[in-house]
Amino acid sequence: MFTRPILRRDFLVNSAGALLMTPGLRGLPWAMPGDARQTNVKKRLIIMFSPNGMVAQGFWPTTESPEFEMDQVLKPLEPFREQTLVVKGICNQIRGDGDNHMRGMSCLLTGNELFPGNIQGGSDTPAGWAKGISIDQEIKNYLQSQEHLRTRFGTLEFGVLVQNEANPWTRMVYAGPNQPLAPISDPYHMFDKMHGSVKDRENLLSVLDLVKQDFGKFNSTVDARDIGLLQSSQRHLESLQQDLNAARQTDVQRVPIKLPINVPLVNNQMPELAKMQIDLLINGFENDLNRVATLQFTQSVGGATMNWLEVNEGHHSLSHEPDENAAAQDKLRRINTWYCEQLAYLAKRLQDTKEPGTEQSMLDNTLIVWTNELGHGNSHTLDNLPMVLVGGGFGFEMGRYTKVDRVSTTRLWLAIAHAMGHQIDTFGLAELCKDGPVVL
Amino acid sequence: MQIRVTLIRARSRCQTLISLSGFIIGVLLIIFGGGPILSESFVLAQPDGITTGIVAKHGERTVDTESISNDQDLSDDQDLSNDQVQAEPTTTDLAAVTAESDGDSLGQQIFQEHCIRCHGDRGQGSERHREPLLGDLPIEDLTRYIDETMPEEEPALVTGDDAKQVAQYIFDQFYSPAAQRLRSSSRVDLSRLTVRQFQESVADLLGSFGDAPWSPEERGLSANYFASRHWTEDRKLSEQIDPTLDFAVGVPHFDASGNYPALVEKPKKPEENKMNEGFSVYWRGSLIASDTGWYTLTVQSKNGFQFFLNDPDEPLIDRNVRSDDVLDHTAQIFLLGGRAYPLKLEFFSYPDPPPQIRLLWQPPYGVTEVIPAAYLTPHEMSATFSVTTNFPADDASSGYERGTSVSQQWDESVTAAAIETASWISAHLWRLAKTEVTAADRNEKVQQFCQQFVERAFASPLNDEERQFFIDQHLAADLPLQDQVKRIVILTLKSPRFLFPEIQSRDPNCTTARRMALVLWDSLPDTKLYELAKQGKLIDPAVLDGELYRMIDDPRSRAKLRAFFHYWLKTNKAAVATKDQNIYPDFDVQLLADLRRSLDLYLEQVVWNGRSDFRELFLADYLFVNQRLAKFYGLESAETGFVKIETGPQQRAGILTHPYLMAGLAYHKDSSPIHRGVFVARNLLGRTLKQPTENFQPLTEEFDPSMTNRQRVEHQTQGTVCMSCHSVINPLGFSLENFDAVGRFRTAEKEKQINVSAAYKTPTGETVALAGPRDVANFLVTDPTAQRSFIRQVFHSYVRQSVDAFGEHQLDQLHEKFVANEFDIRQLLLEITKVSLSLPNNPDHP
Repeated sequence: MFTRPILRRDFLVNSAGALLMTPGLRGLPWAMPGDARQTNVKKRLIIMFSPNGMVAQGFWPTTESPEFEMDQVLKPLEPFREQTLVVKGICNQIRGDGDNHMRGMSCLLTGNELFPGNIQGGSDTPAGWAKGISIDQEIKNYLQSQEHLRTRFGTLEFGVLVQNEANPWTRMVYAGPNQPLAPISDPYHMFDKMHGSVKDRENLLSVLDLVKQDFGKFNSTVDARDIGLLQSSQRHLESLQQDLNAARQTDVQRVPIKLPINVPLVNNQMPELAKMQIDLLINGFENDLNRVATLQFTQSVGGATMNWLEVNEGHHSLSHEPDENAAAQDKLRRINTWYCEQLAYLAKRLQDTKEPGTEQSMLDNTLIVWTNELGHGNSHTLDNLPMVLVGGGFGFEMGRYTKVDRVSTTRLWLAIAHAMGHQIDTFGLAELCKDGPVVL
Repeated sequence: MQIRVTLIRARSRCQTLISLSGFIIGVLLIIFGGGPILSESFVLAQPDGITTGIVAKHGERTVDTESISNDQDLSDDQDLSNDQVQAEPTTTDLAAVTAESDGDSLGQQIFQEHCIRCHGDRGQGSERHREPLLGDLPIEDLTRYIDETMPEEEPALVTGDDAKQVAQYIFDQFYSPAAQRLRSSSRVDLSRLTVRQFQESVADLLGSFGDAPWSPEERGLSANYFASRHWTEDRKLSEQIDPTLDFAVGVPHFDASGNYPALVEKPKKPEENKMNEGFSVYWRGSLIASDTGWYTLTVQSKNGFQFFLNDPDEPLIDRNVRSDDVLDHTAQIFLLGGRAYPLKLEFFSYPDPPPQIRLLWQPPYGVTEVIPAAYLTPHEMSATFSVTTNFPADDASSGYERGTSVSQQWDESVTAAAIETASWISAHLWRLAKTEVTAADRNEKVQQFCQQFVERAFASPLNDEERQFFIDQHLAADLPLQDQVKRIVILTLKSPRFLFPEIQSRDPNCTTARRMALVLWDSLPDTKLYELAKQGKLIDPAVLDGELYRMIDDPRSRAKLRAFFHYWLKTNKAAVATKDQNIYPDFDVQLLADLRRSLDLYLEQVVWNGRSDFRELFLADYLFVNQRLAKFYGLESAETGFVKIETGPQQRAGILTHPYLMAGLAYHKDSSPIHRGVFVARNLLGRTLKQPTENFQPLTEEFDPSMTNRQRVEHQTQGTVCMSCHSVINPLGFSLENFDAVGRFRTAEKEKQINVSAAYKTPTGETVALAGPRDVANFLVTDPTAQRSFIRQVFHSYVRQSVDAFGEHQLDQLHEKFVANEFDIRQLLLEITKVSLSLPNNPDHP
């Protein structure tokens, strides 16, 4: 009955709403019943980023698996101990142009060097964008190339208070060489992207009766010879209304989301914004809009001031303090604990969400990777990047803390690509993939 | 019995032969007489059609089925023909018509006996012959035509005095322009906004929340140069105006030696003058869009930059991060012609790679080129918004675009445009409402914005009920602010009060303001006009005239007049002209774009810089050319930019001979006297020429290599029936044979002297001897019919209603004023606007 609800209308294609621009039927949610691919096992990947390196004390467990202790920073993950894998020894071994923050960020997921460019940090040579695609996009391209794995967006890039500047410190996701993708920090903007057409239709539908009422006021006042013009306008309104109502029938099958209204994008709203973005992320999965997501908190050198934790200094400047500065270390632990709480909230939401049409938890089919552009803040090292994997279904043995010996990030991404079904031999710089996917 | 048989026979013949105006031509024999468009489309589709087509023998017809089936082109071509073309009656014509012929005259009897079966009792046509019986041939030509050819099946039945009587009857009752006028029941129809009106109105509605647009004289962009990466004031090198941004090699003030000796302030340490501190420039100003459409902007640079256009916050091209060696960076944007859009370009560089930057565009109808200084101004306008939604074309079947029908497609486009506008407003809400997301008075500011938005859209203050209906109930809804505002915007833009400007009863002052803006700008009143209206000041004639003059000089008015000229002169066809590259190797898209600019400069000169004299449109003996055009058209110019060059009165006569038009009204290889003749007859002289029912291949050169173009046309159209239209077309076209297929002046063709002498017969039967383009021009400026045709067309394009609906003698009165005002075009716009103000506003409204 509603196979082509109002799609035949130009305005859906022409309108500014992001969804409306999606060419073809396939991308449109109402053309894709929620239970269409229940038969396929869904695998999902989330990469969560927080900046400025990790504090060693209070983060890395001192004993290895399986009875590794979850110290202050990892404490929020305690309920997910069985689904958590902490890995030490993954190193970003990309060298070349750019400072460690830049390479830390733009080479992290790409495993590739930066182009020569004009952006200079510290006293290092200036650099531009990364030379390759990032792992999330690589996997997304694979999924989108498979009919049965394809979703409307493939991937969504969430940000939380990412500075509105495009440079190698703010971009970790790349669609290809020189093609950084900006994360969307505004939850309302993200909502528009995900549900904009539905929202536009709701807004339109909500005023159509009023428009008709308005037209009605003039039916009796225009010259009889002009009435035909008004009548045809009113007929078109009727038909538009019918189409919108038809579309609404399919819209209601979607899993809705209600966001708090009018939350400004400012530092002290960070907790609220983080929650909204995570809720949207889950909603995207529920509606199967995408199978891959990134969640980027601020950016490399990000200076969020977490005054709700009674930390009144910026994160980045704190991260430069030496290990001996106990007060600073304590604050950094609180900051990173807060990030871990966001991870735990994300895991909790996944755990509490059922795979559509099943009793299975969504967390079982999802892998979250929490990482950082630096290993340790004050030394700016790219070694021993914090890698916390949470979730299941990827074949990794979870519930452990494990150490590997200086393994390139590229080999970890290879392992994840393989786990997602994408059998590639190399990713990023080929010479850093010589030993194949890392075995965890 | 005899008669009955004859009529039955006639029926079968008439079904296949549709006559032109019934009496003008039984079988239409105009070669491509359908007018420029039909023929040009053929030329485009088949550039070599002349050689590959079927060669007609003497007097034989061949049919180009492709052209015939091309209904769209036909209807497109009708736009002007149905309208302006009715030649204006003289006073004696009117007297003749008003003197009612006897109820039962001999002419009427003959008509009823022999003609009515095909032509209908009022000449309206019939099943077997649909064409109504109207035209502008003089009475004696009509008489002769009936005498020789009618009734079709047996012309001998009506001859001599009978033919004269019936011709007079037909002429007086429905055929002549005067009779048509009396019979017409024109009225002012309720109309929706046209596409142009919708686009312009939305742009101005949102633009009204910024600074008013104006037309600055200065050209170029303002530039600030710094000897540092950032704009450190004490390291400023220069503040200047750069006419264009064309620095492929070497940017001003960048000293390749590695020093900045020009620094005003002495550096504290000598090494600070070194370049490794970086080098930066910011350019500021606005881009003036020539035409409405999509523009491709290109910045060529391997350095870092951010390019902003019509959005101060989001760069259109962001190259802040230089990464690899890409040189060309492009983006597309939709702009409305005649408007200026704020532009900024922030550029920086280190010594390696050395700085370089060029700013290019490809406008609609244009080629990729460095943006000329003429389209840049150092003044920063306010950002505005252009709807990019595609609209179906407006109905132009009456010869001008008007909004007297509402299609589903149009309605859907309006809906899409309303959503698009709402989204844009939502994204820029804080700037528009002059507040901040965190401001305490945010909601009040947004409410104020909404109120102004709705009020300006309707050009009428809101009463309490309307305020509740359009605004307050939405702001009270449990929704995010952005959604509340979106609903208000959609409801407003879908409201009949916005879409049908005349539907709403307003204060008379507000109605006046609404109409002025619609007529002169195709838009909404601006803040100044609307405030005057609200204060009731437009009743004062001095204030009204002051506003009219101000508005006529506004960029929006210039843009509208320019759009009219291009429509009137049919340049959309010239814009895509192609020519045989063997014969005209340098005639390319670049030259075509230059020609368009040359025409625009000329129109601008006549209307806005000079006395605004209609006659100068045809009499000017100069051309605007740049070096490329000068070289191609054999003129001397030392300037690279456009300059005015005298050509002498015999070589050029204003728009009539402008090479853009001459090249457009020509074939791939040859000139086309028929295209040119049809154009002059219809568009300039306002003659009636009917659509052809069949198309003819023009005789090609191979037909007889010794013949000139003119000789071939004369040969092919020599039949009596052909000549009933070609007697009008050919002389006008032959007079322009001095211009070849690319509009170059020539005096010889095939080593034969060009023959431009011809005799043109007016609708009143006078013969005018023409001996070249200058004579046609002189005739055009003195012929009242041509003047009235111009007025009629301007009126229709401006008011978008029939001039006859404003009174039987409205056109006469406008013409009288036009003459009295020395043919002042700007004054004509003022008078036309005043006519549109004379209607009552929706008198039925309680």
